[in-house]
Amino acid sequence: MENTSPEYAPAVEVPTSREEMDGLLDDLSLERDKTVRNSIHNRQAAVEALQNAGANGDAEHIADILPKVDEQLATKEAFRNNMEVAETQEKGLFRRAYETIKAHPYLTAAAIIAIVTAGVAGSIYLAGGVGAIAAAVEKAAAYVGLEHLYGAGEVAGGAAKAAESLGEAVRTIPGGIPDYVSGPGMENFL
Amino acid sequence: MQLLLTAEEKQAFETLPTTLKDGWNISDETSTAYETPETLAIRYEMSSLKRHPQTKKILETVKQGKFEQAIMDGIPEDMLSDLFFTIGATGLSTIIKKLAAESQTDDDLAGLSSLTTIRHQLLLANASIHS
Repeated sequence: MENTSPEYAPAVEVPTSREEMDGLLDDLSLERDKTVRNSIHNRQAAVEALQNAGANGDAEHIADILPKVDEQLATKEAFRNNMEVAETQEKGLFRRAYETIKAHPYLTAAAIIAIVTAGVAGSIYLAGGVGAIAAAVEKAAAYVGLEHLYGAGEVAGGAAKAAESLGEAVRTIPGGIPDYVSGPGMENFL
Repeated sequence: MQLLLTAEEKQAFETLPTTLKDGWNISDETSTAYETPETLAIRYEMSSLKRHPQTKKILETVKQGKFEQAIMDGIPEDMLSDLFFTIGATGLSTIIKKLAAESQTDDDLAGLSSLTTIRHQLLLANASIHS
């Protein structure tokens, strides 16, 4: 059954696509700077508009991250365009990559972490802000040796529950929990 | 067939049996446009994965404390794109490094090749926005 409690039913959600971002800005009568990417005018107006739209305590957080979301939507579009070109040269890239991940429990666990974290992120950030999301990811990642990816910190509130459930699940990974890993980009997380 | 590997991943790949490595061309992945922790946090918040019916099934399974390979079945193509974007080149790199060291079959290496191509496209996308 769908959870319809207030904390799981946000009136304003973080946009997941360019269309949603444009729709949100239109709904809130906000403008995106046409010449300077990622600049959304008048933060206070954005906060007030978001409050009026029902974002309540999350209005400031959403207003603050909208420019960053806008930037990442542009990155996502670039990635999809790049992949369309790559797929013309080699078909089935996503599917082949995913079948390989599925064939390896450790890699599957990493994918599950991503999906579960994204799945609960909306409700977690309402309860505890973006820091709680990061903490949930970190806690969950620790169970499969990926915590260096997400940094160190404490887990709090609803994030802990989500991460503990995930932790119970990944503890049963065949072959046990692997050693910590490192790789390019990791210096940002250490 | 081509693999785009970092220097560290190449070292891991070199430990694989020669018969398995035969026929693969190794190229250098030299881009450094990896995501910051803040960027990944934003991607989690804006991920559309949370709206997929399949995500709900996975969440329900995980909430019961279960880990089943089968829960990953039936993932649609558009969800895969969002999954890889959400974990970013940084997350993919942890998977690639692991797979480069532990591949046992040609299928594993074909999957590794696809993963390195996807990561490369992510790195190019990351760099294009900040250039």
